[in-house]
Amino acid sequence: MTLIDPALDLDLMRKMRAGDADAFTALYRRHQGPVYRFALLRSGSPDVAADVVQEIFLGLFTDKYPFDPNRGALSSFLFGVARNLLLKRDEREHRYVAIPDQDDDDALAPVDPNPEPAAILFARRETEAVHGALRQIAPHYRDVLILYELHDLSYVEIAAVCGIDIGTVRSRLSRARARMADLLQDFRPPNAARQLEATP
Amino acid sequence: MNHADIENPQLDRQLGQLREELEHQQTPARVEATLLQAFARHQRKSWFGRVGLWLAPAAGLAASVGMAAWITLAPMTNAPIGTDPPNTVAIDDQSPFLALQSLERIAAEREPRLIETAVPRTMLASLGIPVDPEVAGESMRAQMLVSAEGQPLAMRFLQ
Repeated sequence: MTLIDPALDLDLMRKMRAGDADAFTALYRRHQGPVYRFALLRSGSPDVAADVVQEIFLGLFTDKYPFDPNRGALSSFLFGVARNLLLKRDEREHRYVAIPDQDDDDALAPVDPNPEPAAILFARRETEAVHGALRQIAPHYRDVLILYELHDLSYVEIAAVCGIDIGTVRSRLSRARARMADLLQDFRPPNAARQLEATP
Repeated sequence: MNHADIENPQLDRQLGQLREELEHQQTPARVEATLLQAFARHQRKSWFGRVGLWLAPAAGLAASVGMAAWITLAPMTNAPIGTDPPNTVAIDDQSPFLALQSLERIAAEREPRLIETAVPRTMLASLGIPVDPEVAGESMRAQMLVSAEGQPLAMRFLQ
């Protein structure tokens, strides 16, 4: 579960709408990190992730993306807008085919044969491999995995963000994890590889 | 994470590493700066929009006082402002005008108009003036100097 206090978010939203720049700054600083990291993992591009964050927060105070507190927490709403923007970007650039109505094994396969190279630097080769595997999973599976494993959203929150039911969240998470395990099964950390080579 | 049907400690460890390495990633600082500028611009525009709505009925009545008002107000650009806050200009014994644009912008206006109207008291709050909550819902009389295009230049509240 997220640790963001929804009551404080509402208070800051109210002040922001009354023109309080400090309240807007506080809101931005509370939420930019998770939204940026979600967009970064999802797109693999720091520039795209920064554009997405900027677009979301612009839309928040201009009411292009009107937030309704009756429909969930602000953090879930922001993830939802980020996801939609990224899906539109994929669509615009013909990166993926449309999301299927039914989840099946074919839908899990990557549709983009030439994904953009990731522009994120990781300290460990193993982490690079994990990120590489993540990028090979179709977006609607990847979104669920990222939100659950890396942002601690609950099934209910993910269902709201992705506009799917909880059962679908559960099955997509299960399939995404299985696919990740498949993609990473041949990966050996450099140390392990050296140990194998040294073994007579 | 614990998934009864899909337990995989190695994958959990790998995802944990990914999470750990991403923890320090933040949106570039330039985005916050851009957003704050846009927020300030948006607030100015919204405020003028709200004022414009209130002024619309009064605008038609105001045309006749146009140039005369400017002649009356012209000394404001030379008025001593040391005794008032920097964004106010006194031209008579009544309350001072609050400059909504720079004095240079106001002085450069060729066809200013002075209009009188009623505005909600809550508008005072948006200008940083304390409002008594008991009368916040009421309106009060105000005079406003507007440009030929209807852009508010300065205003004062009348008792």
